[in-house]
Amino acid sequence: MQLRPNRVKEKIYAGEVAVSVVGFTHPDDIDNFGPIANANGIDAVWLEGEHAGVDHANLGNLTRACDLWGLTPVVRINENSQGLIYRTLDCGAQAIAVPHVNTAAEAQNVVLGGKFPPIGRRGNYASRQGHGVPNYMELADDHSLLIVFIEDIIAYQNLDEILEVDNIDIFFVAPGDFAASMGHKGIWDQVANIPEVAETMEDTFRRIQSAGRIAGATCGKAGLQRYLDLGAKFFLTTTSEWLDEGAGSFMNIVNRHSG
Amino acid sequence: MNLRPNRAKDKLAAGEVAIVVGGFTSPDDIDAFGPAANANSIAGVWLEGEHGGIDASTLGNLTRACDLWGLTPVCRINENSQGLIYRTLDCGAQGIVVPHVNTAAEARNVVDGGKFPPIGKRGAYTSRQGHGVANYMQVADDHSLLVILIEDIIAYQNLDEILEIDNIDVFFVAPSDFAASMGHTGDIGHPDVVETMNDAFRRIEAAGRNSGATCAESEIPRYLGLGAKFLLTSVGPWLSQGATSYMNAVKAHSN
Repeated sequence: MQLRPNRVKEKIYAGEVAVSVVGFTHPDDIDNFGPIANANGIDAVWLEGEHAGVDHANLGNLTRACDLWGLTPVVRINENSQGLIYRTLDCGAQAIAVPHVNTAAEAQNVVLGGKFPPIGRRGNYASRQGHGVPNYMELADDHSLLIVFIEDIIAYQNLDEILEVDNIDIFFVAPGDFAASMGHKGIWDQVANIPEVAETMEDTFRRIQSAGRIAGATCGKAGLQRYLDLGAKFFLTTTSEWLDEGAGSFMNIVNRHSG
Repeated sequence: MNLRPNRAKDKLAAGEVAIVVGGFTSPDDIDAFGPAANANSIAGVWLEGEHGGIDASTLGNLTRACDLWGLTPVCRINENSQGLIYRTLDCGAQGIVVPHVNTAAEARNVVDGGKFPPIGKRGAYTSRQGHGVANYMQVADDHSLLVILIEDIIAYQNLDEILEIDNIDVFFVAPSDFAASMGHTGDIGHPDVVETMNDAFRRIEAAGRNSGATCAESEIPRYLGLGAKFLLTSVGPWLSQGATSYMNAVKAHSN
């Protein structure tokens, strides 16, 4: 059998936009969302392990649910550790997002953990996505997706050298920590509009694009135009906005008919 | 999208033998076994909930692993309860095995729990296997597999009436409880037990129904000879044989 395709990787290298959705913590919820995701062309599920509870004990089950619907499981981990990166891949992730990557050496560390020799130093194991795939070792590097977070002002200052590191697929520019590192603490979609922050982030997106690399962004519906115009090809959005809207609409009707 | 095929049921419909394997308790183990199962045309995985730890909270994850490999998840439950039967289907099982079915009414209860109206009384819900399947309610009954265990001497005495119940796919004759119910606890090789079981297999086949058996490698000729079409086997002997073979090689090379 063949290695499962990585839908996000295929889309972004075809010049298309790929969308991932965060907000699922249970495999049954991913199954429930599967038909909706497929009907709407959503590419990926973002599994949150920098801040939330996704870990090795539950990655197998979460990523199997993604596999059944052809959704790319993207896992954000909480440390730039080679061992953590490849164990997360071995447990079923097809993509790794590493937060707070601030130097070329730190970006290269992501590659070392995420790719087999000779590119990197990923440890050799019968990875979950490799069961029954005879040429897994040959293909795995082409299918795995590596994302680094540009979210500190230091990363912005080191951006040119970071952008020279090969085998990083997406340079994800995240507003919350970016603003905080510039002295502006607050809710991420609000601080993203502070002029100094907005200008620095926009310059970051432009430089990623002009270096011929791919940028990622997190936003709700309202932010899409801005980040698409800045050249972002990979998006993270959350179910919470959809739940808010759905609940709001539902309760509006309840209120209208019970007044 | 189409409802996922039921490989075990499809094989039985084609007159072929369907093999299911028991012994997995973790979804990751099913994933690891997947390639070997497919290479060897194994039809399903037996998930043990009469005696083992399978329950509604673990079925989603276990059956997803089966789905990825096209293996039919067959779940043995521990009570002939309509609610338990359809909840087990809703959580992802494609086959249900009900132990100790001793009368036609008890067999009929399995059908009532396992099939939607008008055949049975299964409650309507967005079943896990039904996500994205527009016509799930129309096709679910054709794809679910119902297995009842004939494993008490009372069931043997009532076999003719039990065999008249429609929509039961497999009449599974299990030796240990059978022997115990005949007063031969622990002695499944007792001639009375063997002869009674053999007669049960012959009568199931003569009625035009499918029989099932739990079957070690050495028993394959016996049960296939008795017409069994659905065989349960366990990873236990495979691990035991593998370990013995391995340790023999260790010993042979370390002297």
